[in-house]
Amino acid sequence: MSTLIKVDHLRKVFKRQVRSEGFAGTIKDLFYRRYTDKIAVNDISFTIDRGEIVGYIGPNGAGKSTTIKMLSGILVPTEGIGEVGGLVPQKTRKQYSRRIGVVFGQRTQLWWDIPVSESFKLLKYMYRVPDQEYKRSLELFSDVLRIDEFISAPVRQLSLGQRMRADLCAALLHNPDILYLDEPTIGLDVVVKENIRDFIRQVNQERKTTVILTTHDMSDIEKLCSRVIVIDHGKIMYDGALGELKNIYGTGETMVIEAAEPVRRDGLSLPGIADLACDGKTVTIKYDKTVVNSTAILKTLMNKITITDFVVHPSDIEQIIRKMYENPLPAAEAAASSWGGKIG
Amino acid sequence: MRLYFAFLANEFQTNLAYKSDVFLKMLGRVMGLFVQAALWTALYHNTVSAETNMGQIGLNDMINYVVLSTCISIMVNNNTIFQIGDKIRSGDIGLQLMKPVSLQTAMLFQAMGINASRLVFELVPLVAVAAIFYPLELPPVQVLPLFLIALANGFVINFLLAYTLGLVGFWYINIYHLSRLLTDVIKVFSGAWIPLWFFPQILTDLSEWLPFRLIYFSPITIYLGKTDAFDSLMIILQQFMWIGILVLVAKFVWHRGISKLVIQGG
Repeated sequence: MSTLIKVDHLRKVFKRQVRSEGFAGTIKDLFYRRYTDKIAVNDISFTIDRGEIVGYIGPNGAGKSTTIKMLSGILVPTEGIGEVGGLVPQKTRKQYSRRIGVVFGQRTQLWWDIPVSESFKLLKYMYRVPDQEYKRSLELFSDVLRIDEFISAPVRQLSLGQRMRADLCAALLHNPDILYLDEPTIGLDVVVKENIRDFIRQVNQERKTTVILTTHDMSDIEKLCSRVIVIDHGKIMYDGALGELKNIYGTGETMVIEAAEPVRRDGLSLPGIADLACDGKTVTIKYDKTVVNSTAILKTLMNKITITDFVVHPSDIEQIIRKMYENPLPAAEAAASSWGGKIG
Repeated sequence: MRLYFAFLANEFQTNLAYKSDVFLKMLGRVMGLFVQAALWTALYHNTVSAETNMGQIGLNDMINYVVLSTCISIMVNNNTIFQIGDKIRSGDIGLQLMKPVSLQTAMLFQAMGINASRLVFELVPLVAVAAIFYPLELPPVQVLPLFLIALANGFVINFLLAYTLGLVGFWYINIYHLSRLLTDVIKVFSGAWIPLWFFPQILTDLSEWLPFRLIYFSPITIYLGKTDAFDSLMIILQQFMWIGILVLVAKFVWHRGISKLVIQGG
């Protein structure tokens, strides 16, 4: 497969005004402004091949959106180059914009007060989509996302799930090479989430659309991405296969148990667990599954208390990142071994 | 081109999305006309005509002026300044930049879309009401094309002023004050409320150097036959000159704004 996106030592520094405290400070700031540099993206490099679905994850303020904005041409890097399909987005913005589709979970590009179909028509003219291709796209969208059910309603009357689906279609009408998705499933129910993931996967397979996805939802990543890039404080923490990441860092699990009677902490002794907390009838146990597995814990517990219910939560992105900080070495190694040292 | 007409059509529909909104605006226009006409009638009070620095102006002239000025305000006003200000403040301007389309042209056609809907739902009822109470004479046939050109140019000048001020939102987030300033300056210097006939000499001289009178006052004087053919052509020439200047200014501000955006972020 050919390389589509090439990011080389990309860096973005913002100037932020420092505000003084208090009334006097506010007055002072009116006349004399001080600035500090905020490094949003700090020297990152990676390449993405055509047809990949890459999860770009990290906590809030990690630099995800800044990277996406630089790749989509609306921010100029302070240093380094981001190149997409041989084009530098900032320099050839109009030409480049025909090749990308963008969805921001928090914004809409549809016209608020008029039917969805009118927005689509406008986009059809904007990207000069041929009639036949337009029709074919609409059929596909109706098949998978059932947009025909609400295409003649104005956007303000749509539910969040419907609006999100319509926005996704709007971003794909012109069959872009690359689709940037910024938290596409935020605030949606499970059924719609699943529906949207299926759709993204189908578009990726049928049209070979490259997808870059930022999300806080671990199941988005699990269902869609074969590769993840983890970023925090503007630096790449990990770049590689998702399975690998989970093997190394995602081994922590949390088990929540409901007992028949109130449980006392001191009556329980479990070998190998990291943390145990009791609150009435609820017991929360944190453990590393490479040290002790859930069945072993349950077995030990069942001898002591009556269990009415239990749930096991795998670790989420925040936990994985926290673990990366505690033990950063394996990440670099893992990335180096699986991706041939692409970390910058 | 079809793309830009789609912008026009979408904005046309947007403007008609709320039924009561449409009817209230219609009513507001008619009310406004009556209030202004009553005001001038009271001011003239038994006087047949007033001596001004542009000759004798009678009450009849004034009523005609008010009707025309109200009609023009329907056709040249726009929301462009707020539309752009909102885009910049909310960060939607970023989405806009990811589209292969010129913001300025898109906004122009959106403004035309709004005005097309106003033409149908505000101007037509207004003209109908005015025809009953304050009948307006049609100008001689040869004046009409000049008036229409001057009117269209006035719309473009007003649009460019609003668009450029809207772009100031890149540096100054609270666009409301600027909008207020622009509206008031236009009201005074364009002759939208008070014809420049009644201005003291110094204000008349000042307004000669500003583009605002070309939006209202000049088209109206052409319509009312207060300027001869040569002066009318000169007015249109001046309008084109101002359009040229404003296009350049808008371009400059746009490029400065965008380079700030792409360096500092939204």
